[in-house]
Amino acid sequence: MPELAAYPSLDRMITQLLTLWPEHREYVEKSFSTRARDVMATSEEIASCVLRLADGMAGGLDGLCGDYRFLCEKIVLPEELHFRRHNRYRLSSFEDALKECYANAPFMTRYMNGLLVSNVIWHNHAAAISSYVQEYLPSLKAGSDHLEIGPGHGLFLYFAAMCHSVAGVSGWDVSPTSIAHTREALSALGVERPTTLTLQNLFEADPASDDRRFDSIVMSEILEHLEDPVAALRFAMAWLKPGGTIWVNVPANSPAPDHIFLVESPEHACDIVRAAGLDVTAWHGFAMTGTTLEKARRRKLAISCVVIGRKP
Amino acid sequence: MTCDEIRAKLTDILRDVFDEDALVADDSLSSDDVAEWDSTNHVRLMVTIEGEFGIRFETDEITAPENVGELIGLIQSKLP
Repeated sequence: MPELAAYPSLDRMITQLLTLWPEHREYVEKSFSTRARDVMATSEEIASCVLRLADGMAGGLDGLCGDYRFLCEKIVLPEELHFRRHNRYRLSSFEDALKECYANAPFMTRYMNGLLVSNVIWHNHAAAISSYVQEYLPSLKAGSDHLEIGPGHGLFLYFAAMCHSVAGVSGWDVSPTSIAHTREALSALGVERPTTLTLQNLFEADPASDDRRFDSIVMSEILEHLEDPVAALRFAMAWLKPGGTIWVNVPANSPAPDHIFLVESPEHACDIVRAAGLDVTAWHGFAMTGTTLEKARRRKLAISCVVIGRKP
Repeated sequence: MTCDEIRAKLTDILRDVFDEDALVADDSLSSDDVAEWDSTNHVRLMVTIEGEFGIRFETDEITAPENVGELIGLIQSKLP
């Protein structure tokens, strides 16, 4: 295991996880052995957030770790099996995902809790967040108005709220439960500055009757849940100021019970962003734990694709 | 198909899936011995075996074998 003395939150979280799930040690060691210093710094910040969020949860950190194991063993593995056998995700319509997943509140809670922990443990998740924190947010001009579509666990909004160049922080979601969850998370994380969380369907919002426009929009792990990601990006782009940017994080080759649109590579993700009418100004591909980007492409393994699109 | 024939075919599959030309399907070989033998690559391995041998594993059989010896036994039990 890499030396974690300089990273107290990571140390506490990983120690607890491996106490409960010792068989996961090799994976965790592999995941942390190749992390660059900036990714380690962001990982420590994420772990600190997760620990604070765990304090307010009924099961605490043990519960979160249990849900993470449930995610790995009971949710991802069967989907991975289907993906390898058929070269496609199991579901392809939002309606089916709604029926199977989104309407099943107890399942969704465990699934979301597991994903929260994965942001620390899975190399590609941590690296994507690190690029957002270390590269994207510092690139925003002072006074930027920032919107996240589907803020979920609240981590991305938290980091935006901590960024001095961001003047306004907003989040839209279609689910009242998710909005309440994000609000609770931001409160637990100690975000004191005003954050506007709105129940808003991206596809129904009318930019013609609303003069709000944003310098920056984030859509992290959203597009793979949609039947038409290009349309979603077009709708989002309408809310950008000219020259404004969208930061997209979408996983390629990443089967999950509610993933319905298969992105096959970082280049495919860039094509989707361009098809919406945005100029791609930067992109990254972060391969899953234990492999290189080249191998991940060849073997069709999970890659977190980060694409920054600029409105002309 | 004899045990040795399964082993020979499995050696080729292991080398291909894990990109390691030196791998040999010895009974004791397990995920502990191969750096890239993680859960995702294990699923890749099992699905490749399904295709190469024309068999189908039950979901709970995917993670059952502890080593190559047990895997060969599982494959043998699936063959006609």
